[in-house]
Amino acid sequence: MTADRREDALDWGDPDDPSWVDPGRDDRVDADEPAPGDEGADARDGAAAPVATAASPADRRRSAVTAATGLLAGVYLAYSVGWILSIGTLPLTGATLLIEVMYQFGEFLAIVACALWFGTVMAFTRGGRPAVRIGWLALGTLVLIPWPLLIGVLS
Amino acid sequence: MSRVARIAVTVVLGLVAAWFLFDGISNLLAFPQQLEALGVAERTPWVILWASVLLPPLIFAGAAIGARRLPLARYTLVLIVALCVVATSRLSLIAAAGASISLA
Repeated sequence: MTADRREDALDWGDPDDPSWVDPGRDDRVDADEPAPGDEGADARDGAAAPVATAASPADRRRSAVTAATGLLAGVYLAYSVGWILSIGTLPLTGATLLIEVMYQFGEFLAIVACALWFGTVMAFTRGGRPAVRIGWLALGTLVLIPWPLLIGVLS
Repeated sequence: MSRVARIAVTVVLGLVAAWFLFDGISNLLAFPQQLEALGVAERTPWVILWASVLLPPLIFAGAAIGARRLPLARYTLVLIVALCVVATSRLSLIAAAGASISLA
């Protein structure tokens, strides 16, 4: 870095530049308040309103899909916790070492099932229709219910 | 090459699915005998036992057929998720079998 460049870094630029805004000035116009004598502001707002409302349905749909995905993510997280607790309610032991290893592998698969289903659906439906994503996630909430925990609680 | 890799993935993961099938068949054969020895043969949950036999091949085959046109990585991922579903269904059926006997 040269000495000139270092001085440039300490220079605030030309104060007469019209894009330069002094934060200490009192004559700034608040964006929420119409300026004195600005009677045309309402008319301009009215003209801009249709543009805003035209974009809002897409925004609302995107927000709804995001909210639904977040809700389902919470359900999948709860299911994962449910499966972890379910393993404790099923005291399965294998007769041989191989069967014991496979039992524990099966329990591991059950624990990671919810996370894998959710991640797979999110990866496969990226850029696709939101209804497909929500549909697959909803199907997963039916398939992956931690029945061992529910049965243990209900009985 | 891709075809060979796809077959290899199917065989390796199919072996895991085959173990779930083996476990279901073992339960189908041994569980009724245990209940009969205990004198409660009428409580045998036949529907649950048969479901534990049929679900692993059905779920795995359905996933393999449904994902057959996907790239290898996605095909593998779908089969792994299918195995996870098989594992959850197996534990659910075991819990249901225990509950059905205790409630009967």
